Amino acid sequence: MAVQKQAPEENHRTTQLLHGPEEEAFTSVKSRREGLTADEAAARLAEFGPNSVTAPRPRPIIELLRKFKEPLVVQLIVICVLSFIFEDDETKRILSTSLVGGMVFFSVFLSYFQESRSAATIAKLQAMVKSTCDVIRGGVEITVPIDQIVPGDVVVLAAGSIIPADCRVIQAKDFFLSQSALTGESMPVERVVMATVAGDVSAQECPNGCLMGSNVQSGSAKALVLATGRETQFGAMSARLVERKDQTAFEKGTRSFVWMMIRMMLVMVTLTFGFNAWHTHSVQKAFLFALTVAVGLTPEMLPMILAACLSKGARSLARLKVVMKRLDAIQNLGAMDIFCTDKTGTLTQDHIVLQRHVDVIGRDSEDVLRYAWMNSYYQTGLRNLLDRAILNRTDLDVERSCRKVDEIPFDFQRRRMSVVVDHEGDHLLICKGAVEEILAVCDRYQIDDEIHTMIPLIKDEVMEEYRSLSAQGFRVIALAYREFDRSKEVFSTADEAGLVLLGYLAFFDPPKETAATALAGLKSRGVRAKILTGDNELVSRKVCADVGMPVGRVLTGAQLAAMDKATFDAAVLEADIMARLTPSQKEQVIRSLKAQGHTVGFMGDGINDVLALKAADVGISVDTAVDVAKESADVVLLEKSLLVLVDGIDEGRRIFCNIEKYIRMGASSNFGNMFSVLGAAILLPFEPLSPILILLNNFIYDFSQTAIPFDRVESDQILKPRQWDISGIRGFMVWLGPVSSLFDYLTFALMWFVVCPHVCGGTWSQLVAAGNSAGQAQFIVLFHTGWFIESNITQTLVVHVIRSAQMPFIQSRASWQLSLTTLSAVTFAGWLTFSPWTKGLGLAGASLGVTFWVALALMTVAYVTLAHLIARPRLRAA
Amino acid sequence: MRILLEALQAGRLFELTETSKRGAFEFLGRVLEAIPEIPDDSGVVEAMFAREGTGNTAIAPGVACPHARVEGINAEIFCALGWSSAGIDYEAEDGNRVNLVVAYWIPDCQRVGFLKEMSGLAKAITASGGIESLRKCETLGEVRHGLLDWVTVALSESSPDARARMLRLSAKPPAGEEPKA
Repeated sequence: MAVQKQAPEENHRTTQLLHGPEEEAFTSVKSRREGLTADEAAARLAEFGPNSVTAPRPRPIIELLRKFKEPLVVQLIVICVLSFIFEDDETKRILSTSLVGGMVFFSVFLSYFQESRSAATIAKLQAMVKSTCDVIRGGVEITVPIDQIVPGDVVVLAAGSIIPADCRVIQAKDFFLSQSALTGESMPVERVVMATVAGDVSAQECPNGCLMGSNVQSGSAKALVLATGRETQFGAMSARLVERKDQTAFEKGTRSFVWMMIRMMLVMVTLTFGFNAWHTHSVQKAFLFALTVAVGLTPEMLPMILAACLSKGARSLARLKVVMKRLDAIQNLGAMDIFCTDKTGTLTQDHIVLQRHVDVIGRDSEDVLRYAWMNSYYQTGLRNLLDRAILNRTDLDVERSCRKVDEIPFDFQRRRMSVVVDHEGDHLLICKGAVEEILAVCDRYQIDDEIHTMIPLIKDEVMEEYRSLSAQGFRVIALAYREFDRSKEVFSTADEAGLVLLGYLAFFDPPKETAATALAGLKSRGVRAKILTGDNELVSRKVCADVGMPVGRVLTGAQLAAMDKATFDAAVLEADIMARLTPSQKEQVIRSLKAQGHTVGFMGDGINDVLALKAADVGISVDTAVDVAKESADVVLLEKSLLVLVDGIDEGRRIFCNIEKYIRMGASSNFGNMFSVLGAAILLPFEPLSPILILLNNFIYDFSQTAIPFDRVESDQILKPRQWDISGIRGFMVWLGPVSSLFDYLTFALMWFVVCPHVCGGTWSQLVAAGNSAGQAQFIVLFHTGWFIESNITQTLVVHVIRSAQMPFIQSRASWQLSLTTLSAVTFAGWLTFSPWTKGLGLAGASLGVTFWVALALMTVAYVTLAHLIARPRLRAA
Repeated sequence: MRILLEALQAGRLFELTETSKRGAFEFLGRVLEAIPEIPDDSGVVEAMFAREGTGNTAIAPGVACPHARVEGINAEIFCALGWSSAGIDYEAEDGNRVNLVVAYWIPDCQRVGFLKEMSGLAKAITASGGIESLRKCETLGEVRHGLLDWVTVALSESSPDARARMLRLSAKPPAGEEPKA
């Protein structure tokens, strides 16, 4: 036996079973052509496990430990260890290590908890969107979830099916697969029945093999399942082939924000260390202080905030019957500014009714209905809505007088399909499909019972009937036939030639009542809708007119194909309807719009939509879509309604708004702190705040932010697509940071010139000149207490300012959760200065005096007012 | 070919002095509008140009059949013929100049007749060896005789091409009811 070529991950047994005789494959998997019985399938499911390549979730402890690998957490741990090593004072060492450790714990456990909730939510939601497969069990064709497929099953495959496992084809008709997920090859490959496969051929190349990870482009087949789950080629590869999607705009934005903060922190830490070392002449002390400042500038809660926001969003969307398959797609949903869709089911009810069946000049024809019915009745491929509409129209007694001879399945290149029927000694090929494609293979036409020669002029004439029906909003397909001699038993696409055009079938799909409202909703939210359809431009225009969608430029696939790239880009941006598109043209349109800086959503449910779904920033499908479309989508709507999508967009924007609040708050307060600490390091003869207090302040501040994901978002904030805007964040930093610093410096002045000299009995210079070390120590403690309180209040309350362009507390109020955490944080910080631990912490709230508290109240009001005035125009512009 | 034959019998074959498509349309349009059964100012020329917008009406090398369809009139089809020995620039897809222009006026109720006429004419042209047989003619009378030969050929050819033998099936009887033997 020849040595068979194998890919590194290839399952040797599968390869052998594809090469050897068919009966050997059946024997090996203990099966038969009629398939397994239900009991056998159940037993095998218990033996082999579910047909899934997904690795089981790691144990919670492993997942938790992985959290410690986050860069921001690693940074905190390093600081924690260094503080422990370099801090001389035992009490301070324990306190500072505990505080930094607490922050690590806070960040890691909260983010782990949120992500676990998200994972559970997604798993629960994904269970609602199960892919299924037709399988023969006990001789009967039934539909089961794909994860229930077992070795030995005989599966029934048609266009749009996902190949559920590694299989051997045992019956096929013009069966073409796309193996792009498996091999990267975009061209479809044909798979056929073969007694044996000779030579050095890998499983992926075996002409009788269809492997998990592929999907059916056209044709139909039955196949014997050889291996399932992780025993498949795809399963073996999946660990190495975890598909890395392009980084989304959201991921890129988050990453660039984190790096901006890290760079800022490095500059700040270096400068602080330099000035402090120069002032204090103690490298160790300066180093510890610089480390503490580094902690203060670290946005350590970012992972937790992201996880919480996205998880909460996924749960909210689930209530709206929107299933997020990838959590980060939520943000893209909110960022989407162009929404492309096929009109079927989104603008229309997707309840297609066969309205008319007419001859070539538009007269009602029972022959057309009868022939169309037989075509739909006998076809075994993917029965679409049109087939169902035809079959619902009548029910003919065909079994007694007709026999199916053969079938030429549908594909998107030919856009037609045929069945061949034996009737009273004749073999009759009945072909239905897209009008242009049917006319292309007709050389005759029929009127009444007369068959005449077709010439181009007549084609133009009979096309007029098609145009007229289309302009009335009907979806139109054509029907043709040809008789063959009975001796011909096997047919192929080459036989779809020299046909007689019999007539047309006109289907009506009424516009949805909610479509107009939903389109208006999209428009008011800054989302432009475009129709990308394989249907013709006349029907599309009519449907758009019916739902009140303004139609400017209309393009066809043929026109787009003739354009150079620059013209193409400009045209697809301008057009409202792009009709008669091939699947790859839909993808090209999406990619062009993305390349022009737009965030593009695409909603589709057919096999012809898969490429576009994958190309879009947000691929949206529906629960009733073909499996491969659902698998390719980021979002699955359990209700095929644009109104649900509008709600989803709002939710995506709300989530992004809340994430932005943390980012703005962190960026601006950290930038302000940088100025304050740097100035203090230069101006003051002592540290403006002890390391312990910086850490404590940070800890309290972190706690106050944990409720951000639960904050409410003003309605005006979701009117525009929300996208990452690093320059906008910089704007906040540059303007709000110095405002925060201004009030820090005012506090420094208040403490330095008024409060501390008043309480300590002299200015710092006087105390130093008098050699009053106790007075100096009290001066420093008071100074620290004053700034600790002011810094905490301003830093915590600023979230109320930057959360909305409206006046905080009066016009716009935060959610009760955020109000509670911020109020608690401020109260706790104030209470700490009076608590029994004031001595250990170096605080002295009781000694501050009325002057300080009055000044603090005034400064807080002034700060909030000034910050609001500065933030408002930026928030409105955002 | 009945309509073309009637036109020849009625003397509606003319020498085209114009070699432009517009000129030919305007001339033949006027001829058609002069037929008493065709209403005045029925916009024949505009309708013919509108039809050209959906596709060129050259049906074979050297032969074109522009036509004007009208709605809401119950009347017969009429046609008028123009002959240009030099040929007119018809922008035909095959690039050939058109010598014979057969302009039709078609009430909507006569669409079937027109389609059959076109199929018959196409067959006659093929069977008679195409426009080359007419291009040899030196006078309009010879052209007329040549066209009558086409008509004869068309009538001798079987028309339609074939008779359809449609498959007949009845609806299924309601459940529980046995079909009659």
